[in-house]
Amino acid sequence: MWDLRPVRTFVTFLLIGLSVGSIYAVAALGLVLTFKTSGIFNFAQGALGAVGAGIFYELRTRDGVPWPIALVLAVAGCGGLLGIVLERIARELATRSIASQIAATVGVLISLQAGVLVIFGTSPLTFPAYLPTASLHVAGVFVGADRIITAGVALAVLVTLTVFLRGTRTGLAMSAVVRDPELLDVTGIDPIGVRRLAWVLGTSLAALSGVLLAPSIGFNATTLTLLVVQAFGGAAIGSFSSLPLTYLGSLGLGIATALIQRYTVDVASLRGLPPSLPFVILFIVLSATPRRRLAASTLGAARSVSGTQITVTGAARVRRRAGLAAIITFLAIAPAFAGTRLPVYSEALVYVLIFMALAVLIRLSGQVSLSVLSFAAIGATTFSHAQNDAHLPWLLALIVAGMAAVPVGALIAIPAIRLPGVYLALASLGFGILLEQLVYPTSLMFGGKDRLPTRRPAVLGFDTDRGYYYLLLGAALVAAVAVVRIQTTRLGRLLRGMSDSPLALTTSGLSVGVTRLLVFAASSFLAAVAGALYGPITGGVTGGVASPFTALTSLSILAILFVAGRDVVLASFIGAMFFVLPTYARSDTLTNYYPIVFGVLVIAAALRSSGPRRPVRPAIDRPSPHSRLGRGPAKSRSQTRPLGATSPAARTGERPPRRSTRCRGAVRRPLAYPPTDPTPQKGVS
Amino acid sequence: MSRRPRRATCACAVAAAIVTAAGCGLRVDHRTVLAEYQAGPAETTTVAPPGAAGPGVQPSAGVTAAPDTTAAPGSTPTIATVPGAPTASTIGPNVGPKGSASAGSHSTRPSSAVATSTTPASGAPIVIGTTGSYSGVSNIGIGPRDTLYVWAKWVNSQGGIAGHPVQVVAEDNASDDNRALADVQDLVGNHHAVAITMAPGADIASFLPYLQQKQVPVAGGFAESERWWQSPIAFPSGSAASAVGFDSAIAQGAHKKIIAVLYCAESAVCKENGDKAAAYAPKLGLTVKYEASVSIATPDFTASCIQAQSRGVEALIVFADAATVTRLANNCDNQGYHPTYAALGDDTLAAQPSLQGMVSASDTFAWTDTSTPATAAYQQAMDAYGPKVPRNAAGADAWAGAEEIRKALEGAAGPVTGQTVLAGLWKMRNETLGGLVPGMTFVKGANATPNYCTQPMIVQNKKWTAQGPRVCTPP
Repeated sequence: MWDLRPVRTFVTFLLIGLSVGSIYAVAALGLVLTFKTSGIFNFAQGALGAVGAGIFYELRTRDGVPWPIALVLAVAGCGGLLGIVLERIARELATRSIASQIAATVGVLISLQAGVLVIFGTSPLTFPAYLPTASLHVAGVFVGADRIITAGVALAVLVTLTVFLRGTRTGLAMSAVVRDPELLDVTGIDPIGVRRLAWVLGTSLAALSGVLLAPSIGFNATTLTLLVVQAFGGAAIGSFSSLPLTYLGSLGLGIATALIQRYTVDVASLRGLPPSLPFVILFIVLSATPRRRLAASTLGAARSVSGTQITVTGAARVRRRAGLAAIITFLAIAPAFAGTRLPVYSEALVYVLIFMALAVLIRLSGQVSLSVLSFAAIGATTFSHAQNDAHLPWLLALIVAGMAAVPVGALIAIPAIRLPGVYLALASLGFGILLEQLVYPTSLMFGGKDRLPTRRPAVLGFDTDRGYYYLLLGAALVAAVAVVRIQTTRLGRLLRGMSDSPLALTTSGLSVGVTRLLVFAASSFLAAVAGALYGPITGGVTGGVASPFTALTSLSILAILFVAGRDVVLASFIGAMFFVLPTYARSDTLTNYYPIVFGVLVIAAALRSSGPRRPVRPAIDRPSPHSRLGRGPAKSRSQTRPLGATSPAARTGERPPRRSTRCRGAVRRPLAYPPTDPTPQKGVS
Repeated sequence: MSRRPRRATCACAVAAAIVTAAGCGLRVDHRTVLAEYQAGPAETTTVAPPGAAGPGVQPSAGVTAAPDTTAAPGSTPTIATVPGAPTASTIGPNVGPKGSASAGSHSTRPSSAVATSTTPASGAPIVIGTTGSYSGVSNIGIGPRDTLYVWAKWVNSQGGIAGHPVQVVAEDNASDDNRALADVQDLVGNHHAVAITMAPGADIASFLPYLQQKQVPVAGGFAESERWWQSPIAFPSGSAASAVGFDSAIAQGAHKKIIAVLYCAESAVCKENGDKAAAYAPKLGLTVKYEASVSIATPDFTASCIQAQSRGVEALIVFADAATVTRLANNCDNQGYHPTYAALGDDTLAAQPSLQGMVSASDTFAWTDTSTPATAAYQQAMDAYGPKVPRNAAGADAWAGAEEIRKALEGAAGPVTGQTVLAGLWKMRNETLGGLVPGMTFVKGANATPNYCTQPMIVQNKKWTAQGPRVCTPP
């Protein structure tokens, strides 16, 4: 007789995985829909879900509204109002850089998260179940009606959206509006209306997922955001574009997590793997997916990444230099008036280096990385080990700490060489979370200790608070000078060229890959040195609850950098002040509302990041109909058919071949380069 | 049947199967699972003979000073928190007299209380500083901070300390070590705090050297690390065995033998505590059959429930936030699996139907107890001045820390400084604060000696209650 217990065990965990995967699917579908139909990756998707769940909670629990009505009001209200607001923001962001778009959605996340906290507090509220919880006994297994409904909703959403996007004129217009709104415009369809509908749908879906999931996981904005971040793995399988693949990928993710949890349970070294699996998948999938497939999924690939290479001349340059001189002078005399806040000023100087490490990537080379704090953590822990275990001298330990991050930075550079814009940001975020969950607890880094000791150099008075402050100021100035020098050297010109047009760089016989590798190595070194310098302020660095080096905090770092401005050096110093100035305010009201205001500031900064003008370069760089993205010979505009009407490509859901179109106010010009490379192109603003 | 309808039929069938199957994972029949795993998978840890190196049950045992390693295991990790958020004020939003309760109207006082009079305090105020995380999603310090405000109001209603009114000044460190150091420097340097208490959020190691230099003590119970007993300027009142306390609560309070340890994936502290609990369990005769990392963002914990259930686990120790513990218990409940849970004590947990019978361990005293004058005073003060302030393990730690300072200043004459508090602390010999803490003994110039005693607690009828006397678990 065969022993069927292993099979039954497998089936049991398969079913569990399907259930979890369906929840991932609910979260991921909304995310992909928004991305697919707006071209903007919405990091605030989880927070929108929390808002929807909060509205539902208010209506049902506090006002006694019947749950179906509460559900409709929450989904329609959240989707309708917030969707319209977000569409307005997104419309302005459409021509902004990828980094600006990420920063703006992070700003929305910060504001909504803080708003939910203000209204509902941080204590977990009991979200009463509203779906039937009865169990059905099917083939020896109890099936929860609520989970069946959730899974059914996920599938229904998938089918409805797929049919809608592929089979209706409006749905096809939604796909088209991301790629070429002007072309859509000439077909008689209002691109703005289409975008608005897309955002309302995406936001409604976010709210629906929040309401559906809240009875299970609560409507804490933090938890819902974390859940959506986990769902990135499933969305990555669908290339953040294909809804069916996203659905299947989410199911696969749930199943894989459950099975790994079952079959690695007795392997102590793999205990951290199941919760980290979504991020493993995210990183691997993004690193392995053909660039063409990712790039083709959104116009974001052809959009400027940094959007900040501006020519500074005359008065503006003078103003910037004056500003920089003023802030450096302020910091130089800070110990005279900082008083008890000197440690906070010291911390701010460390963040000057961290901001610089990020700015070098974003502003100089057009790469968006969300793992800068992970490199700082590597530096901080290596520095401690070098001091306390290897007993290296202080300076040598600092250099070792910086160098330790370089190979890891090179690892990130691999996807950076391949991945366009937002995908690199996502891959680096997944990598950072992965590092945090799998490597931080090992002896390589924190080793299960919540604090690693570090020391200051015992020379020249640097071991005093004031002396160490000036050491940090010196380090910040050295880094600033180095960055300024880089900008004026050949490497700087290469970086600008890479940011502006990697293709041009390649056609000039230069290696974009090597340049990206170099810039990632430099950035990781700088971030690691910053991490190493962080610990000695208080004598140690913590990896516990109070750890400053969490991957998700990198989102905030990016947001601050956008508020601080566009100049690499000046923005780094101004950004650091965000760690100092708030400590002078003492008010509960400020404490609660400050993040809301800050989030709005981030959105505003992102909106003005590249100015209101439409970039010309993307229009110039549009691929030729003869490129591999184009599927057939070029057609004149007069030959263009209304979308969804007669175009075979449109009917099959494929995107129509992109055409060279004339940009308003721009003279139609021949293509500058053979547009076969979908690497991010930089717009001139 | 043509090909297209056949495809559609197949697609519908597959879809229906997926939808049905997707819901299946959550309610596996309990007996089925047990039958499947009757043989049981391999154990994750060595089974220790029951009673080997077992704990000594010592009610208010006379061990010396008591550090606290509570380590805030349930803290939610920060997402997109705005660095440098403003500091909180010294006004507790939840603190204030309840109804018409007037200051000084409560006469019950702990036996260990300072001999104060009900005449209004008239001397210079004694400033006690505290720093914690009060903002953002990691505002784990708000409850303890508000408890300190309640304590100050109550003490002042009793005539203050040695004729001096008490003032608690709280500053937000947003879980940032550097800000914690800046806060403490501000509290001592500008507000002239004579003692620091309760630092939930940041690590006390960040400001211990400064306090050592200024000769201002840090006292209390809500510590996160072993640093509490590695400095002669730290005077902990709680237990060094918070994580292990869950083991003893299960062994002594719930009388279970086979346990699982789950810890959050988002914080290294969770794993640190999980490892401690798992390593110590065999000494109490417990067998760890399952140990795993879980994410607080995991949408469903059924897999963990099934794993534990299949291994015959009777009790689950969970190092995660209250919301995660609740979700885990609900998921297991759906499976018909009802183990005993052990986690950080919180009122929101006690209210959950699926968590009835869960246990916890207080580093100081049972926060719902009214059986002694000291605990009765705590309850009455909270009723009068902080009816909305949560009463839980962290709040109890805060109260005990404040009482420790009050005891140190008993009989103080003249201007009160940090040295005055230190002198009072150094006089303590097996001081229990009327039973609030195990005996504390502090010696000048010496580090505090850790105590490993915790107070088991259990949820009964949706309320936390003390489960027997304190249990000590020496390493």
